[in-house]
Amino acid sequence: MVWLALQNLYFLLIIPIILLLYLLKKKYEDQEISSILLWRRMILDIEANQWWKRLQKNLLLFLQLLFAILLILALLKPVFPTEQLIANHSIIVLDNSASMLTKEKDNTRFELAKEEIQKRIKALSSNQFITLILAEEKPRVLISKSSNKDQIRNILNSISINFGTTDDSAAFSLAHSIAMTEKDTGILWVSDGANQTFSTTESISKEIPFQHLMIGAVRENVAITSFVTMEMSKGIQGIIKMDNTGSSEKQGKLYVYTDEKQLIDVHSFEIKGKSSYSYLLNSLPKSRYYFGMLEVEGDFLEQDNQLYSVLYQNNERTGILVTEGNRFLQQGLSLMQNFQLTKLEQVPDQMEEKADIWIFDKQIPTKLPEGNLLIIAPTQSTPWWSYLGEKEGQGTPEVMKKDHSVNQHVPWEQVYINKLIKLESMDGLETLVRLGDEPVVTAGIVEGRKIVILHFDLQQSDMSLRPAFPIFLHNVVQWLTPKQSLPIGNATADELITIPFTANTIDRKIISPSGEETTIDINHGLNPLYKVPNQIGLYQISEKNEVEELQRFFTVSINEEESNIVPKMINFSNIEANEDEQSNQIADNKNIGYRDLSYWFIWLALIVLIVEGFFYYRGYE
Amino acid sequence: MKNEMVSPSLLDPAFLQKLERMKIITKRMMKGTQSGKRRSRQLGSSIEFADYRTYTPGDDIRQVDWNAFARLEKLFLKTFYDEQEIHVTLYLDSSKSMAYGNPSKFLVGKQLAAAFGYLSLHHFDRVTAYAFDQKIANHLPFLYGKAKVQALFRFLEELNPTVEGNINHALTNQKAIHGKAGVSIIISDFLFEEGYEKAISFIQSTNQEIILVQLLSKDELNPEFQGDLKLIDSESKQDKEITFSPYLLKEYHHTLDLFLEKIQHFANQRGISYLLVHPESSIEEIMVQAFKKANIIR
Repeated sequence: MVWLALQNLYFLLIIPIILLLYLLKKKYEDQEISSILLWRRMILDIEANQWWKRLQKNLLLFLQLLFAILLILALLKPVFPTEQLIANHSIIVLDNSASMLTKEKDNTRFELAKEEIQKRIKALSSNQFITLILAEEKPRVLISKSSNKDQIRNILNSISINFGTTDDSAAFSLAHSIAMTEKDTGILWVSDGANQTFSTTESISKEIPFQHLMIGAVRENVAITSFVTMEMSKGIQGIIKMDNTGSSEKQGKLYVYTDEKQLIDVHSFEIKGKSSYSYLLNSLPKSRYYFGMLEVEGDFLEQDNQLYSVLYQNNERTGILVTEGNRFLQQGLSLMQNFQLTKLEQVPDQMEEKADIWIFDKQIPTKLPEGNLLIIAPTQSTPWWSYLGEKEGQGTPEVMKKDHSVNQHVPWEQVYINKLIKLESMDGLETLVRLGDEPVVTAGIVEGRKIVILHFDLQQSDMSLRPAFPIFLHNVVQWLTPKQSLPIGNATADELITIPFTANTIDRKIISPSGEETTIDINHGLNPLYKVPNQIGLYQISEKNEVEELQRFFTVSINEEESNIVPKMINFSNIEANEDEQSNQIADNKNIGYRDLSYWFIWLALIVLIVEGFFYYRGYE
Repeated sequence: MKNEMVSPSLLDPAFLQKLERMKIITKRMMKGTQSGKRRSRQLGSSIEFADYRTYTPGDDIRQVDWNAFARLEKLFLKTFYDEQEIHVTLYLDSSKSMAYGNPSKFLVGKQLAAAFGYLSLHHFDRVTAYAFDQKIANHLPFLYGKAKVQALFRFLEELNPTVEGNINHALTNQKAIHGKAGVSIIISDFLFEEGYEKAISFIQSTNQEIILVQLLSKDELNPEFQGDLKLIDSESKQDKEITFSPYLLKEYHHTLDLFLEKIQHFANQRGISYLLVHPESSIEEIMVQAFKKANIIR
């Protein structure tokens, strides 16, 4: 037993006060009797007897003294060293990675770890401190050097599992450097130790007490580690890879569903310990995404038993350029990413080719093709418009619709146009740029197609030589091809990813697996950064433009490494040689925690008080 | 007639009549040859036959049983218990400690002395009464005959317990003895700082058969004190502060038992009759039951 508040020893002064009061209290009533002979003899007898009989005479006094002493002892803060806290200042590093979700009997490892920490919080005395660090991708200090038990408990209770990547090396470095700066500081590492790598790379100062509280036992786990679906020439194919990180052979069933939750495949499998198993899915029905799920007996980690796969789409945009020859135009278009350009010299008769964009340079079809159109300098009348001739261009072009995406960042004022082509105005088209009274660029939707018309021949302008030209081309292609946004790969929780949005959308939303919607401001550009929340599953990107609502998906899954749930004790490379010493150190350190015994003394004092009362009423003294 | 002679405060006349039929038993009733030396003083109670023995020259031939000689032609002497007058000496403790109790031990002591004196005088025994504290405070020697009952009672009534007592000092004194063999009845509480053994041994050595009558009041035998008391000795005025508890009372009883055992043992060893008397009992009860039972009177 240790006394934490020996300074309170001066309360012992109360003992002589009690004795004094006791002596003063005694007021003897006179009583004359025939002879005190027998009484005197009796007292002599008693005094000659055992000392404790003499004590009995003053039972109440002794009970009072005992009461006072017990209270004083309680004030001295007696504590019992317990094997709980590692140092006066304990840095507790908690592993909240997905592998901590492994089931251990009734609780998960994570719950067990929290319970262990709760025990230590309970053992925390007023002059001891706890720092709580989470070993996440970036170590997170949740509470720094606190002795407020309630606060630490509240924070501990609010911690949830991190499905993202963890960097325990960084967490260790942080804890180690905190411990180095302060005396009597130790590190208590609370984790299952699975996938922990820092102990082999880092070394620990021998002065720093370190204890690894390994949570969990060796458990079996089978996981879907990857699920890819792809549109091939033969149809949609998929491949599912499963890993058994346990040591025994496992049997199970694999279920595959479509986005409509329709079961499309059930496959029974056997997978040996510490090995992988791949399953190929052929001729899958068309679906925006697929869902794979495992059913394995005796699997201790459920969260990695399911995985979504978003159909990998070949997102290359196609364009057909009909021109007699314009090097600048051809060059400018071919430089664009994900854009496959086919060049035709004449307008084809049947217009059967399929393309996202048709680009007509000084030519015009009689029938509108499927797909969107960029028409440059149409010089003929067609059944659907009238050519009105040419006009001299004077002055600089004036931008009418600044916020139209076709116009974005295009320095029209630098462009000189010699001759403009006059066309009859059409419903659905609006003038984006004009020169004088004549439109230079018109754009809009005609018969369900997006159309951009450039009202001048590029050879009658210096635009091709200006920076405005590639920017304009880019804007036009972006606006005309709705599918131009890039697919998003597989992400992990808490990861910062770039989401390629489609141009010209007026509303962008990301819907998490739990249904939470995040609106992305369109002013943040086409490729904003997005921090994936700490949720695994299927995420939906919903984009709205003037015409339609586009939906895309991406998946967030558990870090593949977390499927390895075999716990491992942390042993530092630099102190492996004298392991005994280390274990001793740990054993010693275990004795630094204290259990407060004050309450026990107060309870004892109370009992003594009750006993005293009992004797008092019995008239015993 | 004799009833009127007695002070009614000391003894009840009806009880006195009963006393007349009682007699102190003495172990001194020796076989003797002095039969007929004195007349029997009691009507109806003749000389008690004791035994026969053969004649030896020098024996009183008047005591020869001639009837036996006529049949056996041998000289036999008929022997009788010699019925002598006995000398009863009453020692009454008149120290202050006797004044306690309800009725006081002293009153009961006086009544006992009166009773013993009365029945002795009634049987024509000689009676000497002593009252003692640290010394012989008063005495009334050699009373004889029923006429002296009044004197004895008056003597007893006038006694007052006022000073500290010391039996060893009071009775080991020439003034405390009269030189005649007989029965000595010592009535006291025997609560003496310096003990009582010396005095009793001294009295016994003066050819006395001793009867000890110990008077202890209820408060002494079974005290019911509570709380914190300063017990003051009535005689010495010494005090003792005591906080009463059941434990302490138990201890007192233990001490008291030892004290009583000791006096009883002392008496037994020396062939002394001993009786503990509760003053709360009636005097008749004491005399009729206790003393008879103890074979002190019959």
